Amino acid sequence: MLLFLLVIIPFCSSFVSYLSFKLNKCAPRYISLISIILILFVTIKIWFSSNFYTHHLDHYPNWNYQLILPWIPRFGIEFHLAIDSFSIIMLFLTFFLGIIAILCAWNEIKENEGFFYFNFMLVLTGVIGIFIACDLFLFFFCWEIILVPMYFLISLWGNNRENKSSSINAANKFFIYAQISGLVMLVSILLLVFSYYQNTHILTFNYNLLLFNTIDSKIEYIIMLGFFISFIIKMPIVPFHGWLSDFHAESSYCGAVDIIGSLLKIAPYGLFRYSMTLFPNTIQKIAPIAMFLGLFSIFYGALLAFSQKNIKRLIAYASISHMGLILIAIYSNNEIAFQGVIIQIISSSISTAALCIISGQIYKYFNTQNILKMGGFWSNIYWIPAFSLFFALSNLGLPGTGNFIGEFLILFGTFKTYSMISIIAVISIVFSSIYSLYMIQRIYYGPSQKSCLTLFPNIKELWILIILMLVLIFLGVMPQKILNIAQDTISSIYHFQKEFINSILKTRL
Amino acid sequence: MIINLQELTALFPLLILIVSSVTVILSISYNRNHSIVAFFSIFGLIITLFTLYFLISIVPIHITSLFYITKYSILYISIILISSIATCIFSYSWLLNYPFNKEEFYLLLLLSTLGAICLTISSHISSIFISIELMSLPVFGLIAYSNYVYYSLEASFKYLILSAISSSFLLLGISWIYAISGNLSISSINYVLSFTSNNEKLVLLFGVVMVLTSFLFKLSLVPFHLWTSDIYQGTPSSILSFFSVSGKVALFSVLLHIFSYNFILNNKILYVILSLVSILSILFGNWMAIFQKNIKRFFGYSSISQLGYLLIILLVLKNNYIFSLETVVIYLFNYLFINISYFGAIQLFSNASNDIDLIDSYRGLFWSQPVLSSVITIVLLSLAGIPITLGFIGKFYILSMIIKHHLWLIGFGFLFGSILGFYGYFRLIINLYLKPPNKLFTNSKVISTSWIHISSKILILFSGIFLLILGLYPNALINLIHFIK
Repeated sequence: MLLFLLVIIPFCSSFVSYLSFKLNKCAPRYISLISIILILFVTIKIWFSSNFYTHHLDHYPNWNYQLILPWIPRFGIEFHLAIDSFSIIMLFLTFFLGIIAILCAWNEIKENEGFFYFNFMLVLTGVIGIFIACDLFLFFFCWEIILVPMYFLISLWGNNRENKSSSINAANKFFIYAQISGLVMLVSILLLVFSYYQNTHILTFNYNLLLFNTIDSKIEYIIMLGFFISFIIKMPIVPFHGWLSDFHAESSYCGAVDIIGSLLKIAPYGLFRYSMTLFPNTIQKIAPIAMFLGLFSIFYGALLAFSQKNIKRLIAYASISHMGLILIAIYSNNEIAFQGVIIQIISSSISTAALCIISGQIYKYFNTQNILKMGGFWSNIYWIPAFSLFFALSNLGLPGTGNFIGEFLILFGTFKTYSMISIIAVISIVFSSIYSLYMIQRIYYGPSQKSCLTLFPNIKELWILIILMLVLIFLGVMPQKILNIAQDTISSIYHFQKEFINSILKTRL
Repeated sequence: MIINLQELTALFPLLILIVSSVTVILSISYNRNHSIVAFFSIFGLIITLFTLYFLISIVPIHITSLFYITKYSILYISIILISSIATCIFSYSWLLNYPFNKEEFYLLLLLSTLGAICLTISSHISSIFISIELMSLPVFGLIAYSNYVYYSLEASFKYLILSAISSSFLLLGISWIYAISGNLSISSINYVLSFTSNNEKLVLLFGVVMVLTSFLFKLSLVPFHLWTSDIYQGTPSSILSFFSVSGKVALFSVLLHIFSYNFILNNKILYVILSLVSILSILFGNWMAIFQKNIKRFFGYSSISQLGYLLIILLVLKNNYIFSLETVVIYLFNYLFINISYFGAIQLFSNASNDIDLIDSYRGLFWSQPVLSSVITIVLLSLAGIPITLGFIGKFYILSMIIKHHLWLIGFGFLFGSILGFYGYFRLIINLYLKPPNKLFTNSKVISTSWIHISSKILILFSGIFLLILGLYPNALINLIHFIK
């Protein structure tokens, strides 16, 4: 029942907040904020009432809670929600960033607030659904459902208020990329289900059953490739990265939409949860390709970030570069790197979100996103430059911040299995420091290009940034707290996969 | 010819329709009264819909050699009847401002419905031919009903001529078939084909291809699709919801009936032709829809692609008969609800002289008419096949069939077509939510709030809600299909 609340509260609050706009202009934001806090409490309740340390590590999956309702029995589809520690961490991240996104949008979204929060809560519902879905059809359903409200968020509350055509183009681009990813995934899910049906004559979309499939290795390879492609489109990894920079550049200036974009860390989650466990026999066959793509996007993202003039595009390419590292870690077949993925997902989301908020602040004061038109802002604004220096440094992995721990664990873990790749990936830190310093130098140092009074930033934004900074430092200083929570799921996924590989080796002998 | 009571019961819906059309004729000749005629025809259609319930227990049944009613025909007939009822309701308010004779409209509609229902259940080529003519001849009149409107007469003439050509193709095909088989019932063709020599088989197949050509004409599939957009543009929107549903549903059910015999599907050439037609229709329909400025032309092209999706079912029919028929029903119900709410919404903006059919004039509709444009959004999402709408369930069914039977080429066509389609549909959707360019349209063109429109509004709202609910919980529809089975 608790799991059902997690989905139904944001879903209902989206409609309520849309309708409440007629009554009071401020009502929608309060309703969405309250509903997020409510589901946060629900999650905390789930977290405390479940015992994480009693599971056997070599047994996967071990859900803490499950909810199974019949949905479409014709196809063996169930409304099946389940939660384990990995999902809980992702949910906490979602709620945290969701609250921050609402706070960012608090006074900045001035037109059609009801519809904005309607879409916002729908996206959040979909994201929560993805993190706790245990039925492949339900997973796909939520995966698709977030696209439409996301499309509206980008196209209607875009950067450019007079001419909507560029933000509509960005939204179209996002939507078409996402749809290609979705359709490819639907095809591979159906292929998996029907192959399972052919072997066992059970038509089911249940994740727990499909885990133990014994399908032909060629078909499994194709299905695995389908999942791989659909996830890396959404991540995005380099050949499919075209939508992300437009998405960032055209989305609303206050940064709310970008933050939602960064809470869409569903693709690494999906790769981890689905690709790793559903296809343990073939996942390592694609590892070299995935590693290469990951490395390529690390360097490509860093290089392009260096050459951007638009500050938001710079952030977008930087996050592409980070995604490359996460991809390498996921395919590295090492437990320590897997733990690094968790930390890296959390901390890169937070630092990207913080940079987006800062760029929104700059846009608000100086009405430009062009780096070349900036310069010397250090003396023009209080506080903001120092914060952006901190977040830029954390983005490049300064010790003491979460990103450092993430990168360190990833590189350290990968070194055991793929040492060459780990060594090459280490060089990327140099590249990321180049673009981060370039950004800081061009924006804040040098001669002041605009002569205006020194500005004092909004108190609310300041507090948001302080909280984000504290979280990043917390992650950097005490990562073990987070690692403890997710430990059991991560290692059981790792052992589950290992077990399969070993059993195949044994049968071959 | 002796008809027993059971067969007579099976013909009950047709008899009621005939009685109600005769009543309409008599009422017109006695005293012209628009409301009474409209009431009679809606009442007759609703009664016909209810009599379908008696058929459930006695189907499947052969009525002479001409008609064959199956369980699924009941569903198809109900789709046709619902679309006729919706058309009557929509047209009533439209006809109030019509300057000439209003009452014959309902007569034409009833006759065309009768033809469509006969076509759905006919199993003999002669009855197929007669029903097609009965179905399409009144439609010429319906399209030309607002003949003072720009494009309307042109559309009617175009449809007249093309329909005549397709009928002549049909006759040519029938005569080739008759030359070999000597019998025109569909089951006999199957029987003959399994015994004839190769040369004769070729002649028979030529006949079948000719018949198929005529059907593709009527279903407006590539390469016989060129008339579609012009005729959609010229037809009043209240009629379009009928024109677009009933004819296509009826023809498709006949196609399903013909193809349920093995003789066609075991033939390689026909298989290739059908798969090409389906791929090209999907791609072309979605591709051309992107460039349209007129909202009715847009739907014309997108209906080409919808029928293209549906045609895929014919290719897998022999492997998985029951499942494909289920798919057809779900897809056609989706198509029905889409048509009712889409054209109903356009009809609310139309007056007697013309429809408002430019896409630009719907800009920013959401901010003045939130409920109506939410329904239009649901409709467009359902056309595109996005989750939480019935269209997605239909698409899911079709995609699962494609994958189950390994039709990879068609699968690629499906994917590309869908992605093209997304672009087109979302262009329309976002148009509803943008700021209106000038306040002129939204302020001056307020939908009249008179009581006449309330019934149309309720109908639109309900079909939109059906799309949503059945998309979230398709079990209701699936159970209905299983109940009838």
